[in-house]
Amino acid sequence: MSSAAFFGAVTAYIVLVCGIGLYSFRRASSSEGFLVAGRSLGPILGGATLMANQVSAGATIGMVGFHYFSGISYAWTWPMVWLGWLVAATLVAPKIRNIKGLTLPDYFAARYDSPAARAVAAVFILAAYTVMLSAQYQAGGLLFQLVGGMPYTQAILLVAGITTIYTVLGGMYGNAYVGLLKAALLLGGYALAVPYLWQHVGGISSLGNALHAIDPRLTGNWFGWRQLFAISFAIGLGIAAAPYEISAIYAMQSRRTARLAIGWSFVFQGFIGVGILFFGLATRVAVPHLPNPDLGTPMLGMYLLPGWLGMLILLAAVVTFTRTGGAILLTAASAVSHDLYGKLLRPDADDRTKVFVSRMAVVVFSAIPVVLAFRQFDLVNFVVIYAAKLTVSFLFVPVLLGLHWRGGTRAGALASMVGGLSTCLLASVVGRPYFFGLDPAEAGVLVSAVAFIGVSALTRPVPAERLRVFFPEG
Amino acid sequence: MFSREARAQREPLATDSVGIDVRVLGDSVLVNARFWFPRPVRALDLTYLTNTCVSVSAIAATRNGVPVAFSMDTTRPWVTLHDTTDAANEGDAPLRYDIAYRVHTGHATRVAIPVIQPARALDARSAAVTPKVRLQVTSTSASIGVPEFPRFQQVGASRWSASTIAVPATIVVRGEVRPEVTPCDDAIRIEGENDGFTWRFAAFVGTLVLWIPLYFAWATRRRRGDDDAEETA
Repeated sequence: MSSAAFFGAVTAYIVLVCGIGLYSFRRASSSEGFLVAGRSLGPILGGATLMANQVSAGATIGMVGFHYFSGISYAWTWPMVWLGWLVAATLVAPKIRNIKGLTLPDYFAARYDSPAARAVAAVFILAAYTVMLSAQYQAGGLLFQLVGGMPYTQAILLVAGITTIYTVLGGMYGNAYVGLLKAALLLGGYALAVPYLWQHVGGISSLGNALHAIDPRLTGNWFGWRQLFAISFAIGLGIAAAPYEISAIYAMQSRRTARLAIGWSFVFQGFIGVGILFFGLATRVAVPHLPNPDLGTPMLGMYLLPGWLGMLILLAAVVTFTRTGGAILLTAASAVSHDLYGKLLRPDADDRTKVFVSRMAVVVFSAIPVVLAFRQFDLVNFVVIYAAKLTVSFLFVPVLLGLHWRGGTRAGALASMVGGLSTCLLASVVGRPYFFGLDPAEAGVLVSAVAFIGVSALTRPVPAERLRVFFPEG
Repeated sequence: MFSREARAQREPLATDSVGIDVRVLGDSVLVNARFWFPRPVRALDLTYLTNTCVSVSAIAATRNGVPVAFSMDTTRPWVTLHDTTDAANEGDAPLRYDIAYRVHTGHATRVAIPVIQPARALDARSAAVTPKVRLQVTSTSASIGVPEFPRFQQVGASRWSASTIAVPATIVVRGEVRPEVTPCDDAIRIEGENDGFTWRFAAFVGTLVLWIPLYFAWATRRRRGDDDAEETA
């Protein structure tokens, strides 16, 4: 497969996305249409959307690289992260839909009767998602660099451009349909590529024999259960309160639809998780000395699989990082246009102006992570994990406890967010890998919980009429 | 974050280019590999992946044309060759490293030819990731020796080539099954210990497979608040 063929396919994908975007443009002309698809998503489209948000380039490129260098043990993060989805299905989704919000900061404003809580949540989300988006750009940059033979910096700019174009055009409608395309490409590509690789590396037993001799930890426990728990804790609980997943839950037709959509996302994720694991391990045996584990997926697509199948896998990776990048951009844009501009700076702005500001925010915010991506701070998946740690440290407690404990106050929520994020940042700097025995995300959540409960106990409660939507029974 | 150690298991070896030529002769295969290093490499370990259907013999190597001595270390299915040559007098000159060997292949529809290679990642001197490994396969017969893995392009009647960013552990070619000769297993098999890896893999897949119906059994139960009318109230 030549670079020209690959970029031809990428161009066709962009044209298709623009088509979806233009088709969606009229439907996305209101804030509700642009940000939550008019609350119209059914279980399968919703499941594809949830999966497409979670399965980012951190998975299709970063996790393949992780399995390449560390073997099978990291795979156990999938079921552990799914526990986070259960928290989302049982404790978050049913109640958070009560407010008919558009963004997660809407919840903060409604639950804590506090514009300040909305503003702090919006700004922190922007910060954490800058890191998350940089990982998508980095993954895309590595892929385009290798496939297109272009300098890494140019590759990053191209990736940022593609992601921005389709987010500006499509909003959540476009994201949902591209999510379905992403699911189809990943499922189709992996269903064909895994048997092909299986045949050429000699099956699972041969694969294990070759890996075990390279390093016994590849077939055993490269990551111990403590490390796996720490990573899963950050990603899983992060998902339960992830702004882009909550926006997707807002976008579904009903509570029941949201529950079923989470089930469908398990179906998609399970299939993809097994494929990613096999890709990483098989690539390690097929090409044991890659200069960078993150090149595993590009190596598969460019050099190992047959041309058309390699193209499918590479295109699936492109859709992955542009689609997840789009979801992140959309969340960040909504934080700016809806929460900061529409609710705090210009509450009287009409809906057309807010949508315009949303689209401008996408363009502006898409540029910031480019600088981080240029630096390549670490492997793609480590960057994704770090962003998840930041997110869970300030969001999980005020979202979950706020939904289920009447006593949470606005001061408690603010203290919880500030305390959680600053602890996670501090612990990341001074505690390697653990800070007083805790991972930075665990330390952040612990401080966040203590601050939330402690400060709430000492401060004025939220008026009862504001809480009725979340606690109708009393 | 953990560390940048994961970027590569060991320090990569600066490399200008690599050429690997494979000549399929029927029951055996001749392999010639050439590595050009821009800087001297003192202690070089080489490695290759064996499988049940092939055996490697007559390994000979030279450093800038001077024959090399090896000690061998086997951790099945990988074999490591330690270059024991005293390279102190090579100075700072670039190094050309040549390896030649013969692979005896069994009779199977698919044959995995081991590629002897440095036991470290090869890195380009520049920051760009560019293909610097050139692979070539030639065959004396049109029916056998057709490379299947990694991906090759046909460049002649019985000649195929490929360029990649790293050296593959094996080159899988189409083999020949003769009725009068006991064939090898049809599938490629790599022998060794894996410490329960197959069960771990199955346990992981089984956990995901079990999870999904259990979740749907729970999620499809109708409960209070499910009605759309109630939600839009």
